[in-house]
Amino acid sequence: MEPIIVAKNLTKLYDLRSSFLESFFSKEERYLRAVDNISFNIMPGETFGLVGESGCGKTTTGRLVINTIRPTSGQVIFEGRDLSTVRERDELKKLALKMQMIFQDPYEYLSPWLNIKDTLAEPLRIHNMLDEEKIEAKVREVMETVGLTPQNMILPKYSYGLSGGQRQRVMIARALMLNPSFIVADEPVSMLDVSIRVGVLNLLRELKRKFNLTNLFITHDIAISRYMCDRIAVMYLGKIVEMGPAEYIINDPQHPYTQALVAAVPAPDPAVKTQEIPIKGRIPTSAGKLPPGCRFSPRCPYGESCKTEEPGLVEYEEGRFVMCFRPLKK
Amino acid sequence: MSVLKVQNLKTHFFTPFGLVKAVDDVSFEMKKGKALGLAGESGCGKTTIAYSIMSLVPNPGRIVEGKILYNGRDLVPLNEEELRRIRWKEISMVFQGAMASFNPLFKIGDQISEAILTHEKVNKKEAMRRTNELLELVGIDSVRANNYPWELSGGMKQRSMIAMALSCNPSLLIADEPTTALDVIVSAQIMDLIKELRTRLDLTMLLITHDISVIAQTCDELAVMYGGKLVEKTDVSKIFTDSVHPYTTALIKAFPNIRSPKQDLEGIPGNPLDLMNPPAGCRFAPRCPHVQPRCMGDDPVLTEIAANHYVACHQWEEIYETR
Amino acid sequence: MSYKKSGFNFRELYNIAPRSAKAMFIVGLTFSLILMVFVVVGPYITPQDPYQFSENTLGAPTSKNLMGTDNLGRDLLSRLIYGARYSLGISLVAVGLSLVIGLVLGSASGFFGGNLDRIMMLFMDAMYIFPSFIYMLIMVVVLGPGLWQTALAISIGRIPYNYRLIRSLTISVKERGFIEAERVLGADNWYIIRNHIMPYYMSILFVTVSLGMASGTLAISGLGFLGLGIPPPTPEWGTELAGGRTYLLGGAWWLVMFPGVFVLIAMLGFNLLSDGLDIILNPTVRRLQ
Repeated sequence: MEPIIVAKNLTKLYDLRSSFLESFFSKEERYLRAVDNISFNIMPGETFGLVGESGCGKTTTGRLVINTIRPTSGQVIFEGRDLSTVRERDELKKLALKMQMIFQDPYEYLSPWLNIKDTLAEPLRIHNMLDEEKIEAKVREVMETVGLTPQNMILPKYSYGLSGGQRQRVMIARALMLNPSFIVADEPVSMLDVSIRVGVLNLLRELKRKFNLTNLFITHDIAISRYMCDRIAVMYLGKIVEMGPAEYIINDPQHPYTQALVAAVPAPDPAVKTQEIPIKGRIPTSAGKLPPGCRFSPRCPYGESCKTEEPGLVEYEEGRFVMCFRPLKK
Repeated sequence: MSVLKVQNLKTHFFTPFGLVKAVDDVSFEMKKGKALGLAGESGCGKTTIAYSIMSLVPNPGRIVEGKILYNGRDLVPLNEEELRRIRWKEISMVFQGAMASFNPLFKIGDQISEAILTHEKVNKKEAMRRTNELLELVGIDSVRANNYPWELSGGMKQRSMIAMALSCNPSLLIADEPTTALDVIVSAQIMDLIKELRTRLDLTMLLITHDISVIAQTCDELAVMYGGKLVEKTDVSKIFTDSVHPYTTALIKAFPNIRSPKQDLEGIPGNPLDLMNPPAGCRFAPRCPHVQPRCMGDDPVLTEIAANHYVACHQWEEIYETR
Repeated sequence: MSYKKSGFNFRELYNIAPRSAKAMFIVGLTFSLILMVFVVVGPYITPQDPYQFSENTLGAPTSKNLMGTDNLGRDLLSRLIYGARYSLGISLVAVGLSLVIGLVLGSASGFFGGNLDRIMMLFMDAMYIFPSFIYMLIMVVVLGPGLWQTALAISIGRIPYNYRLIRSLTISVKERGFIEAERVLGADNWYIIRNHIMPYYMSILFVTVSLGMASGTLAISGLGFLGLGIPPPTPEWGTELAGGRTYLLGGAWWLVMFPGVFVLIAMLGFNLLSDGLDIILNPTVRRLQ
């Protein structure tokens, strides 16, 4: 089976030189290495997770995969086709019928000037599909699927008249209107209340089963990634530091950063105390000077040789990758 | 000894679109040195309670009824002058979205010193000395007092906010969503900091959050709010095993637990409450799995069902039994 | 697009607006409409011939001459009604012209950015440094007095303002999340501009137009007052006011007051209209729903 998405040596750099004049005169190059030479596959029907804290590059990776930004180098290959070769306006439009995105902020990513009916009809209108009657029927059908009821009350409302959970369902419904086969979900529940999250997450799981979707699920919450994903990749400062089946990684994390992420999740049971987090300091930025060797080394409680020599992402067991010398030594 | 006693507090907002009963007859007590976690969805009234205690309820809101007894003294009828003597020196607050609470034009150290100078009769040098001490206390190198807010990370800003809140040695600290906008690891570090400060300074603390795990890890007691009302209050040690109110149980079950085998989670059906048109009867009834006809017409009262365990639910006995 | 976009329905917006806004809108609209009627059909509704001399020079207001007569016996009220088409009409032309130019340049600049944007901004900023009145004076001196010349002069003074307004509106909308979402859904630039950015302008533009009318009228009257605008005997309000000053000490207060009152009503009308519209069309008002 061929993967739906192949990311190959994907890199995105942002030029940090602040002004027009500086880029003209200054010889020194300052870049923000938002995504730094990462590679991964997403197989059809699987939910692949990107996990990491803010600044790790997961959101940028999501945008690269959905083709709203172009990589500085490397490729995103979707269904066998390199996305950077898709340039024709019509071809780009057709991509939208196959891959869609659900965004983090259900307020900002829905137009404040369209009511729900027009918001959901928008994808069909952009592509000049169906006449008005059929549009309404399709809109109602999708609302039913995502559980947006009562329909007649919701359709004339505007996004700010709905609750966070409802807005997110509208976002999901909108993404489904064109029957895509691949959906990128960028932190779909982080702006929702805790009690609402489960409903939306369960909806996403059900939709995946029902429509046989392939997902890229981006989140900073490793507990949610375990609930939703088959395989996950943990990112740190633009690089993938660990990758493999979600269950294995959560239960037996190999990379010190992953271990810290897992340890940091607070347990709802007060009897279970959170463990000591084995790292120090705060997240540096991936701008400017990075440490030689492993970029996690300044915060890592272990390691000596990796302070000067950068480990590669190595497959130490079948399907399990880690960017660290330690697990390999065992 | 109770530091704070809230009695039958009602804070309502008189908006042009209708009356919003943000806090509707809430009572609870906080003992010295203890931490109470106030949990609930957004819009349940928890932040409004904090503002009511600090007497900072924004227009068009007002405390319409009830008492807020701080060391026995009712804060509600006090005038602005008297309140100013209490704010920050006795009761202080770390506001939600602390990141945005610093003035970007001034250095952190200056802003914290300003808080000290406003409330205490000390000179500038003493204020700076205390500022440095406070920054060290919250885990920031005192050199950072010379930084501007944009030079600090989210976690450091949050720590600085905590430092500012502690600057006048209050005995009661209110923290509103202190970890919400932070990354997981930083969030855990802030929680550790809060725990450490509590023991070190013998602080009484009111922690407001929608994340029950944070409360489970840092507080002694938990109070759950829904739709402006208090629905359950008990020791933190009991919530995981002994929670009675269906909403509390649902909140706890809403977490994908990373430390136990993977299982399907159940969400809470229905939509959050419309505070302008709350249902007659129990506010949670439309979404409750244990709902009975009685619940739709009759608003349950907070009752003590066991030692330091209060619940507002008609069905509490049935739920208790079937445990 | 054949369907009606939901969010731009004026009646809906009007209904949920606060009462003060509705009051401002209605009063402003009334004044503005009355004045617009003067502009359009002024010559046909004046009680008397504005250019007709009479024996009754510097006559105080009476039932025959409701606002008195000037030094040549002409009925002031008729002159002022007739003059509306100059004071206001020219303003309208000027506002329209500067708006169209500002719209085209500002939206291109804002949407496409890059060097085009940088260059235009520099140019417009340079223009913006001087008070617009200076441009008007220069234009009038260079082009001479006259109707079209005055309109052109006023319109040039206003272009940088309109340009910057449209440009910043475009930029603020362009970066919004839902625009990015539209792209992911397959919309291209033109679709986005037509359906999501242009309608946004509409609500702002009504406000800009009425404000523009206010300042335009004031500018024309100002120029007229200085003797630089439309020359006598055309009964432009500012010109009339200037002319009337000479006779003020002699006791002919009506020659100064009534032109001033007309200018005042115009200012008040347009400002109230624009303030009322601003609140009514403001999307955040709807958010309280």
